[in-house]
Amino acid sequence: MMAITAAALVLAGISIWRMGRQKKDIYTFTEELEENLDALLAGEPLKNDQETRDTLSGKVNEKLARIQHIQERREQESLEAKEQMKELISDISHQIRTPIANQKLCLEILRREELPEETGVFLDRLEHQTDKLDFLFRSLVKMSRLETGIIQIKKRDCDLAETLKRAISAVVAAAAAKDIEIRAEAEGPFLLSHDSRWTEEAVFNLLDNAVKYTGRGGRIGLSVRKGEIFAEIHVKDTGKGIPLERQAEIFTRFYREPEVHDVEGIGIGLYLTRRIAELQGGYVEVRSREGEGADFAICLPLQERE
Amino acid sequence: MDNWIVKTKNLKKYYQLGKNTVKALDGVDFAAAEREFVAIIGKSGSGKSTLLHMIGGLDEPTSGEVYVDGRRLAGMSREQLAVFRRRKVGFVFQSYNLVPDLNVYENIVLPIELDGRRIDRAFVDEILSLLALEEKREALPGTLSGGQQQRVAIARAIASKPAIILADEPTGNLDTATSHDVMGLLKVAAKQFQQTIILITHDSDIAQMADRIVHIEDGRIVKAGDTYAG
Repeated sequence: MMAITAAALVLAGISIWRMGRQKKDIYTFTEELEENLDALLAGEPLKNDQETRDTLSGKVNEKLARIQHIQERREQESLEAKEQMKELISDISHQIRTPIANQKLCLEILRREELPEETGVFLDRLEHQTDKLDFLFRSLVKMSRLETGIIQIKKRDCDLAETLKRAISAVVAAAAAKDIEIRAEAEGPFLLSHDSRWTEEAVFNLLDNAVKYTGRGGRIGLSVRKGEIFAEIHVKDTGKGIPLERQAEIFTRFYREPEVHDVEGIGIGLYLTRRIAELQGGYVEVRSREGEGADFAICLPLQERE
Repeated sequence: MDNWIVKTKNLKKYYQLGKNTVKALDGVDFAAAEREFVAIIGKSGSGKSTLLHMIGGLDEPTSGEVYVDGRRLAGMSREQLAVFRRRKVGFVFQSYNLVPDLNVYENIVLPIELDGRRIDRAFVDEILSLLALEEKREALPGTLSGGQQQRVAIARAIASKPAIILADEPTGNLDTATSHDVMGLLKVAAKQFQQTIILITHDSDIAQMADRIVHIEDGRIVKAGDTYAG
């Protein structure tokens, strides 16, 4: 009797121990599986994917590794497709620039001729359209370069004030022609990790828009504010303002203000500006009421956070 | 829009108030694309909160359908809805709803632990760094400013890797400058972690930070806006 009870107890003990071990195995397996799934989602190398033993986790990891491999290959393919697209765009733009340049040359030659008045009017129009075409192509090339990642944003510690100065100098002439005063309040030097060249482009786009949409004798203010987390570059104008329902749309590609189709542009300036800010870990925003001007801001992180 | 992650179809919510029927939502067709940041703007009583609650599975519609990440919410049991909310939805409310006795890190990982999932430490660290909370990791919520607390709430919403984040007036308790920073970080984080965000607000300054602004008035969408394809 005693012997039987003892045997039963031992057996029970063993089975409890076994169950405990099984439970632990399941937990370890789940833990490892989740870890690997997270790695898969993040595109990081998997743990124990070369497991050769005939275990459950070995089998699963083998499959996961295969999935990751397929994912990587697809990514590679999409990169290659992008690369081809990039070449195509660069080819097209190159091919088109030459005829445009030729066209401009011909127009210049025609200008020197004595022409009847009516022909002169058409010549003006032709010239205007050619300039537009030229601008359009340059913009498209710029945009496609940013989109396809041909242009890498390179952040470096440098003086933001210098970047802003260069942006201003590019619009001074256009502003002067419309009798618009540009006032810059920036206490230099302002050391900030940013891509100087592309940030200049982004600020220039804002200033350029401000000049376009501000009437004669208006004012444009450029200022830099240091927040807790972001440095804000503000471009404020006294133009016609933007109603709220359009304030998100203006940053979309090819967006044009409905009532101003006569103003130069194809509607990629703000889109580019937004991309440039985002690629640097920042964002853009606008505050405006209709008829009361607009305050655009490019906000870039003060600290490099990668 | 065919890559939508949230969609409502002819969504209606009627309340009986005495003899009157209040139409909080009166046939709303709303959709949000994956990775999109949509702001729903409207006055108080326009139905924007009701819409958000329907999408988050917090309230049941009178009629109509809600789909989130390929799932139909109608017909889910109470428990299924609870699991749905835990796994698919991150909430950010006006009040931060942080647990006062837990530090920043513990607050952020709490929903993941409650769900019995493994904590992806590297991911949490990345979020902390992006939201400029690294130095506050061990701090208790009571010692943080309002803006910092809301940043923790945002980190908590992102950390559980939900399909969508629903934000209900997230800057309602913050001053202008702080709202600014919080919204900026929300936006940067949304892009960085490719997160879909639906935000409701009455404040146009806040709404303009979104990729798209949807106007809601008297329980109907009056303007759905174009999206910024980013």
